[in-house]
Amino acid sequence: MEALNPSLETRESELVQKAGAGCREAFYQLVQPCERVLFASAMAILNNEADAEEAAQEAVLKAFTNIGRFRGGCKFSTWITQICINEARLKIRKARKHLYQSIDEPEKGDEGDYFPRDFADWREIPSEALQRKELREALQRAMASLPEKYREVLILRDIQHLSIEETAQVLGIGTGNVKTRLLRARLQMRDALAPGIDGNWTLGRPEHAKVRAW
Amino acid sequence: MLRFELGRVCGQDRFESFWGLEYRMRVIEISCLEVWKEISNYIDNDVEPELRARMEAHFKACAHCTAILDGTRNVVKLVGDGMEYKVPAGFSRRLYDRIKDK
Repeated sequence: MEALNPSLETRESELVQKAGAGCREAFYQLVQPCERVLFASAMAILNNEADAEEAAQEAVLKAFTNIGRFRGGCKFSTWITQICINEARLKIRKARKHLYQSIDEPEKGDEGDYFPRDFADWREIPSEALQRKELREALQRAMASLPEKYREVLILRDIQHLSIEETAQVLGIGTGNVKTRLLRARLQMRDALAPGIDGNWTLGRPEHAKVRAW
Repeated sequence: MLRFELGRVCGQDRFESFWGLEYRMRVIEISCLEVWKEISNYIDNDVEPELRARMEAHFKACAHCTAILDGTRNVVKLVGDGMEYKVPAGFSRRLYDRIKDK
């Protein structure tokens, strides 16, 4: 559990108290810094902006109703993100019920090894290349291709920069599991993005198109 | 000088001192599979110093694993810089309105 800076902690518990007494303004002050992580974690599960917004808003309203149950054992942001993830999971389960065939992945454990598929020497793709539409789209496609349980960990860790412990808390899994899922998510992203598969984001340098060993 | 050699070595020397004496530690070889299992923790700086030394020695000798390390590190950076999940326009206002009406 991540320790809070003492002055921030006092401020947070003051706001929590006020919010508990029904002060909407204080509650909004608590929620506002969490908006991005709430939306991103709902997106990780639902992969659709409108659904993610709805789930995040439902989570916020639930948090307001239940603020009395927040005991301050963790950061407010961790607590509310947990609620949001549960909300998004409920929503996706409901949606899947309507499908003829469940698209739930079979609940495989995280044991078993993931082997990288591509051993090519990968020259670094500079972040400036992200301005190129193709690379951004390739990233999005690669992200969407990940199984949900890997995508959530990748988003919480590498985009929202939550610690391993916070990620574990928010997802309700152990830290060992977070690490295993993160490893797979990263390796699968690397395989999905390995240049040479379509080699589109080579910044016009032909030698980058030939980075594969074969 | 005391020299510890346990198992196969890969020529990487590391020095450690105990009780004022310096020991030459040879870094024991580690397999590619073991390296892949830990590559994400390595990037996050979350491996024990001893394992880190073994992995570093392995990277020096193994171009494949170095390629995987570089690529994975690059992915972490690209994902961090390129994927933002910006909240949709009006998100905050709609949220605030719903809290107010609650």
